Amino acid sequence: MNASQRPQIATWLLQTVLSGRHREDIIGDILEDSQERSRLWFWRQSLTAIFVNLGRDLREHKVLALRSVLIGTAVLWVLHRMLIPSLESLAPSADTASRWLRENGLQGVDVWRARLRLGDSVLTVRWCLGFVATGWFIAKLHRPYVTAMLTAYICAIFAWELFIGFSAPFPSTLSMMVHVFVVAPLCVLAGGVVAGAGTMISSGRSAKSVAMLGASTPRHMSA
Amino acid sequence: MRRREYLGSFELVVLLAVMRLDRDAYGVPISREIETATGREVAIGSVYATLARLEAKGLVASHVGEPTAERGGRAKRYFTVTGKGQREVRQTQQALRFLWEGVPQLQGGAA
Repeated sequence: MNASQRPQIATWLLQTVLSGRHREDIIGDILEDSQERSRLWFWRQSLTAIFVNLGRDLREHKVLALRSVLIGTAVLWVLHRMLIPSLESLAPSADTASRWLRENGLQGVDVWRARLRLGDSVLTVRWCLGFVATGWFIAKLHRPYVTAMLTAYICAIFAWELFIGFSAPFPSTLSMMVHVFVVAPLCVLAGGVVAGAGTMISSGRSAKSVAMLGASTPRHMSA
Repeated sequence: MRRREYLGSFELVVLLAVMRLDRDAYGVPISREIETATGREVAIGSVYATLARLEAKGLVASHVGEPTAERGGRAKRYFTVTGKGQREVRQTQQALRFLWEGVPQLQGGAA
């Protein structure tokens, strides 16, 4: 398997998620050995390296993990205090706009508004923005162990929701489960990726060079 | 008196692979050596997790070698077993040999 045949997503994950002293050594060894191996082998090696690394970081940095959970909770609380009033003010504006359109003969607007369930959409947007921002904060404050700290925070979200019996204010159980177990983790990770992408851009690396990996210079050579 | 830490089975395997490879012991050949010996695919990430643990215990030392194009410009990290590591392997070998010889079911090569 040559450089162009390598699975791009696995390569990107390896480059983005892996941390620790032997990061560059592991990536270099997987790249070197992959030349005589299959794509499946590359995926297996990449995922194993990521999970082994993740487990080690969490075991070795328990205090940091606790700190990331506390910071995440504080950031989310502050953001929701700020976001709730500003986002909920959008709903009355939508009501006014809808009334104006109805008065001007555009009856279909109400049907579409009902279909889109504006209230739920505002709630989802608020939910997503809160978690993206929280992920971004945690990633910025825990630079060498981003993946482990984001994972600790995501586990805390799951534990909290399971412990208090799903507090999220969504209309149905399915919607609540999707928001807690799928949307929230993805948003937290997206926030982490955005924080990481900012770092790469500021250190002069283009997104393409990160994706190609094979032709790039190591980001930080370990001692 | 300081309590002695025993080697785990995978730690012992990795140490032996590093000793066998001598000057050429970096991630890829170490993994290949273990694969050849055990007949199982080895995760490079697990090999490095073990090497990091052995390094923290002072049983192996490492140095950075030359970067190569096939590694995307990354340098190889070579490992060597320290004197303390060699003593640890020898003590483990003696302990295992003693235990091995005391098991009648394993004598004569029949399982």
